[in-house]
Amino acid sequence: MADETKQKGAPDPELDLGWDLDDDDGPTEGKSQRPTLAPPFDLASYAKEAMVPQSGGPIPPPAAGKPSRPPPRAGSLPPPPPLPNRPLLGRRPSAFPPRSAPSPNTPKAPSGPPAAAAQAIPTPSPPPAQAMTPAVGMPAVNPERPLSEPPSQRITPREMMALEAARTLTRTAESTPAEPPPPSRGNTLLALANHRAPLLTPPRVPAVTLPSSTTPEAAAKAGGANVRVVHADPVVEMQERFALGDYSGALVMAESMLEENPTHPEAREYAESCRSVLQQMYTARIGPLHRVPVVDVARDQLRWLSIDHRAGFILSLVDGVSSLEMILDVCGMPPLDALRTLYELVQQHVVSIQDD
Amino acid sequence: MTAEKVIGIDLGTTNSCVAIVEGGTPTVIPNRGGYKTTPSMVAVTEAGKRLVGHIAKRQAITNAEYTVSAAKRLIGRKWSSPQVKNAVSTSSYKIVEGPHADVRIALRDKEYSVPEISAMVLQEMKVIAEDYLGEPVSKAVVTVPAYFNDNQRQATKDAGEIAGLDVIRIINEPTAAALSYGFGRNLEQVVAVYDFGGGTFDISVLEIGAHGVFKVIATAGDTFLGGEDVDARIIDWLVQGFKTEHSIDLRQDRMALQRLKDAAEKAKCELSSVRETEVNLPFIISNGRNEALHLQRTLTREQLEELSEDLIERTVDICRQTLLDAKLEKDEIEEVVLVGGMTRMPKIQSAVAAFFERDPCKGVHPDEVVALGAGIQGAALVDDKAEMILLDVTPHALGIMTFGSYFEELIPQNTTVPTHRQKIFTTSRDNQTAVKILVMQGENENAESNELLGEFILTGLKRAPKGQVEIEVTFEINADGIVSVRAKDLETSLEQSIQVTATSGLTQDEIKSMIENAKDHMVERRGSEEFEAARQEAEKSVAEIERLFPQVEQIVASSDFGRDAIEKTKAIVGKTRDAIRKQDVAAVKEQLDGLTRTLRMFKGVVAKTQ
Repeated sequence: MADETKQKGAPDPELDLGWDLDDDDGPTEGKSQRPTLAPPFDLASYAKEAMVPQSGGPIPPPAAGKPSRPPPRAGSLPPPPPLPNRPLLGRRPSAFPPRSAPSPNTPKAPSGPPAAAAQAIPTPSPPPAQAMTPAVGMPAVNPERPLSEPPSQRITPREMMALEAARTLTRTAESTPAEPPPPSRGNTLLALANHRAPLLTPPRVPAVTLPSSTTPEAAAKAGGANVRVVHADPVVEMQERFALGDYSGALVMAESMLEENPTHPEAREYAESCRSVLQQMYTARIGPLHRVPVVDVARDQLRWLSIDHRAGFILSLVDGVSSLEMILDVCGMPPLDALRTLYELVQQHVVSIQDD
Repeated sequence: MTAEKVIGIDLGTTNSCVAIVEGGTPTVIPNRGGYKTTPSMVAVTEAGKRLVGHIAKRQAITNAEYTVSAAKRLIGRKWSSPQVKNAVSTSSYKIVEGPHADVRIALRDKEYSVPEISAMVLQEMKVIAEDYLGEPVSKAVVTVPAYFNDNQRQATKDAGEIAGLDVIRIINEPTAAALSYGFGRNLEQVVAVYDFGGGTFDISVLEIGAHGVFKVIATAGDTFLGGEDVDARIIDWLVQGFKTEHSIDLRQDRMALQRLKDAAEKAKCELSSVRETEVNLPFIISNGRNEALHLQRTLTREQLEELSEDLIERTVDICRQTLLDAKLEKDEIEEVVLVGGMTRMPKIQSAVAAFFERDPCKGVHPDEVVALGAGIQGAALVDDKAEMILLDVTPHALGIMTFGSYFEELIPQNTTVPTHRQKIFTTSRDNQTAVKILVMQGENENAESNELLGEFILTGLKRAPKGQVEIEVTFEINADGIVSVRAKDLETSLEQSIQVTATSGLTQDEIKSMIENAKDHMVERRGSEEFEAARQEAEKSVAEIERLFPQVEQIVASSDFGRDAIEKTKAIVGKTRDAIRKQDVAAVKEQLDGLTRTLRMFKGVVAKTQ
């Protein structure tokens, strides 16, 4: 038992990246043996799908100078596939808001010039094909789909921007093919019945014009059709990230702007919207909040886990009696942080959630 | 026909408890978590959700600004009172002045009166009782400290009213404890009730007379001395130790402090039964290098006793003073009843035994005895055959202010009610044609230090040199504690009177509005609980149907009947999800039957093919 726990607590990039959604790029061989709360799915594509109008098809590009506004929630959102059978697909958000200083095991985001930074980005191996076996009744996943890099939770907003610039250049050079559209959902009961669409309220922000040197068209001419442009204007960058469903990235940008100007209206609205979407994503992943989490690690082994004091605090609230909802109520942490921490603990097999 | 059920509520400073007499046996009602006491704490979360009881306590430090504890210390007090000033400077939540010079508590975007906050706790106790009994409860006996004045008692009554309870009697906590102690034993004794709770300490001496007559002889205490002070000492010890080891002050981190508080209380409780305990708080805080640090220390009973020695000594000093005031010798005390969780501490038991020179009674449960007594009194009040007569006393002396701001006492402290007393006064100036009667409550010789209950003017006095006009002042207190004061010019028989009605600081309109708000909250809460139960049931069925769906679809899809069943299933599940999303409890309930039938059918299909 001790060894097992120690193994969990040992330096393990997968666990250390636990704060980041990106660490979920398919189960590793070891991971696939472990019981999980639900088969993993892609948050970004989930959010994208939730924002697609009922007629389906790709996300329409944001109107020039306007934030991408998801359609109204009730009635007009297509029901996304249900959580348990969701395939692993889609592009993942590139980073999470910075939370703490980087751990020694966490890949450090590059901060140098874009080209140099591109070389510094670690490229994770694609997950084993068998790990992507689709759930019953669900479409298969393209194993060739390029995976995004596992960014650190500790990446700073500025590093994020540099990283994104590097990524863009890399993609341009390699002429990465366009991300495949989300596979059509099977005509299953689950697809029909699921209503866990993000209740997104789009921020109302004034129109912003892209700088001429960085317009998507110009960038496309320079590097190919699927170029992601890094904008000098963080507002534009934030808007674009939001429009592309990279809510974590957009939140990083928004929080970065709020650090400098706490009253920045657009940043505030975007931050709020991003939090809302991310919160719903985590809620969807963690499941019904009336369920009760329990600690799966022996009390005397807890100290060997690789978690921070915030996770330690959440863990102290897991008493086998309190429901997830109660824990969220009493923890005094922002709901997004608390949900993320709880989800992390579940992913690390420190906590499991009892079924009804 | 059975008599209406009356619950007894011990509305404590830190914890509350509810009891009822069932089949002649007083019983404490556990809350949903199985605990027999519920923290008297109320909080409002960032999302605007109201939390009461254990759940509020668990976030008391991380959400300190919006968590109210020890509201009892403020109830019925005026904004200008020293106790309120003290609370303003020491409380983590915001205390503000109300519109009637009363006290309000600001939680998020709303200001609540203190009775309103207490009402939330009482409402929780009411719900606990209703859940247990399975029927509505509307009548209650509520206990208050023996030193509470009329305004504080009235405020407690108002709190009950806001909570939807008819408080048929307010009784003193030591009286309730003695009532429970003497229940069914037909005792005639002088007992001391040593009540060391979470936030306050009280000592009362009572006389239990024949036929169940209970009389409070003396009472005293300290409203800022309780188990929380002991917790604070343990926290200090832990914080200091950690600081020495890691040079980090854990007090700077709210999450760490919340965990320390919980751990300190737990350690304190454990040390009542074991000689040492380990305080183990992994990942308590992170250092500058982002490494999580752990707190692990062993606390022994001897260390705890050392840490809390002076606090225990303070309680003994108050006991000593109380016996002096009551002109009683230790050997006149025939029994010592221990009340409050702190009295489980062996050191306290030995200190009490040493002071009173006798072992305290261990036949009552310290956390439950007061509520049980209230329950007993409640049952007696609705039972015509009950012989028990409960005599209460005036908690404070009553009198009037005389020339020079002196306080002239008419009814001494601890006088058994109902009672009436008269005294003759004269004018203080020549040709004085009117006198102002200021009715006061308290023990201080200086009238201004006492509580002003009311005032009135007697006019039409005969013009005469000072000291010649005689005015008879009569004080009367009825069984309900209402004070009537009458002043009569003995020569002309002209008289004026006043009935002093205690006030909580709230107007009737405010109380009505608060009652409505509390009712609305209750409806919302019940509705939410109902929806939650239906939702859980529906989601469980839907999950099971979804699990079986692919299998069933494969089996039945080839037949028309099967396809029809599949379509119907999709429709039911879709409607259920829709109803859940809209939070429509009626619609969710409507689908439950269909879901159950579908699930049964699915299980049948799967079973047949296996």
